[in-house]
Amino acid sequence: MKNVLNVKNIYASIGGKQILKDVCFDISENEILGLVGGSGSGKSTAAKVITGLLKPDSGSIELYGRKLSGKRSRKECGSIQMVFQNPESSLNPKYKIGKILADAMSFQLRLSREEIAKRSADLIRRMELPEDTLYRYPGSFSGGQKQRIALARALSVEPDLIIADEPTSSLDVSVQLRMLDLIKEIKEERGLSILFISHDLGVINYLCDRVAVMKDGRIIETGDRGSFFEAPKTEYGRELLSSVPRI
Amino acid sequence: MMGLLILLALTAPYICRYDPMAQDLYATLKKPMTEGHLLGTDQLGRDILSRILYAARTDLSVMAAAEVFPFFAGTFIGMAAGYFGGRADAVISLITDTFIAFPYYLLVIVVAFMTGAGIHGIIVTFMIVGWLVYARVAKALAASFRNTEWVEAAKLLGYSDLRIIAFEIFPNVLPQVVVVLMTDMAALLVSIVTLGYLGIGISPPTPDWGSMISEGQSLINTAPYLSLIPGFMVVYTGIALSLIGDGLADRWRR
Ligand SMILES: Nc1ncnc2c1ncn2[C@@H]1O[C@H](COP(=O)(O)OP(=O)(O)O)[C@@H](O)[C@H]1O
Ligand SMILES: [Mg+2]
Repeated sequence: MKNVLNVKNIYASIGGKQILKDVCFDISENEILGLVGGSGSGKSTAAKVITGLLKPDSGSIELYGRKLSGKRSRKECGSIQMVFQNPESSLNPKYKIGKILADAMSFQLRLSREEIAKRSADLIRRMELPEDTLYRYPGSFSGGQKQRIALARALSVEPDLIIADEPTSSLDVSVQLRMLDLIKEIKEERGLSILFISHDLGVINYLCDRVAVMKDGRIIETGDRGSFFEAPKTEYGRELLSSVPRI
Repeated sequence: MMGLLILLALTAPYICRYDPMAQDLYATLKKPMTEGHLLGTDQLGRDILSRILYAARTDLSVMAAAEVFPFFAGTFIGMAAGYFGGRADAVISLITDTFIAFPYYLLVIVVAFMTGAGIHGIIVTFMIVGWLVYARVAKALAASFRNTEWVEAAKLLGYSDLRIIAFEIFPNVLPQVVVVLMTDMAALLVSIVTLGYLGIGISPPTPDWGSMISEGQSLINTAPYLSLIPGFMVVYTGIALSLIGDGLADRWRR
């Protein structure tokens, strides 16, 4: 399968402190890579570097084999989108959902008004959101709904890769499960690549095709979901597995 | 409340039967409610109602003129400083802290001496110092938003910094800066009136509430209404402004 994202030898620091050390991994088309690791291991920092919000000290990020430079073009920005952990602050509280989606699409894809209206309605339906979603402000939705709106915003600009940084960790179990199923279905429908960040191995096992384990800013092992959950290659991997109940 | 005042000020030339500067030495110091002069006349026989309304025109328009530029400039500079952080923030903080330590009335008096007393001095002075409060408030708010996910999401969509400041952050800063605007306008009105009262603001014979209060002061025992009426107008306007501020703040709280 074709590689969509290659992360090569990334070193990155925040405030002079080195956080990421020689981080390497890749993601193929129609694949969900689960990035696991304890809190503070550098997962969110890795997401920031890939999206371009944080400049790495060295190393490169390649999208379909093309190196992304420091200053990204409009198209390059649109091709990597993100769903964040905290639903409460993911959407600008002053804009109706319709406007948030329309702005994103008109800026990234230069679509006509009619096309935007049609796509917005389709997305809202696909995300199983209420009919009137487009006419409401973010404040009036539940956490789970906000996360699905954030996912809709990410999808609206037709990205190649979506990074989801613990998008369900603040949601109730049943809401969480529905969101995970949606992510899985969308991936199949669109052949998307997804980097799914979580510290919850149950979630990773349920959702991902492959797993990468991060510890202290390094990727210490990567492998297929099956083989990782059967027999982790590293001591830390075994530790992680034994510390959670199997689901 | 404010709307009524602005309406009256705007329509003053149509509703007033008297020229606010026309003297009528045969009809001085008429009490309010006398025939033909609803609020009476002053020591030079000028119609008080006309003067009050024309003064509203002057005072309110000086207030507005002196607020518009500082409001937008301060808000924008503050948002940029808060959004970019780092060095931009440090420079702006240095400037605001320096200026805020400087006594405002002293500056007004200095500028008034340079430009001569009157409307221009007030407007110029306020343009120099007025933006500071907005910059402070906007900077603090923008700094609190800069690392939120909705700002990061906007960056990921490739929106420019200018667009993020003007269209993502500004709507979130607007409610608070408007509340500041209302408070600040009330304070500015008081200083316009104070300067008029001290004789270094809007200069007579142009009607201004401040000079009306001071002209009436010498007759405070015989004709208290000369000072009380313009004084009441200042209080009325101040209350109206703060009610607008509160009302808008409530409406925007979401
Ligand atoms: N804004 C920041 N300032 C200073 N240190 C930070 C900042 N953000 C993250 N870090 C540090 O970077 C490390 C990795 O954080 P993060 O990438 O958020 O981990 P994870 O997402 O795996 O929990 C942590 O040790 C954290 O203390
Ligand atoms: Mg994290």
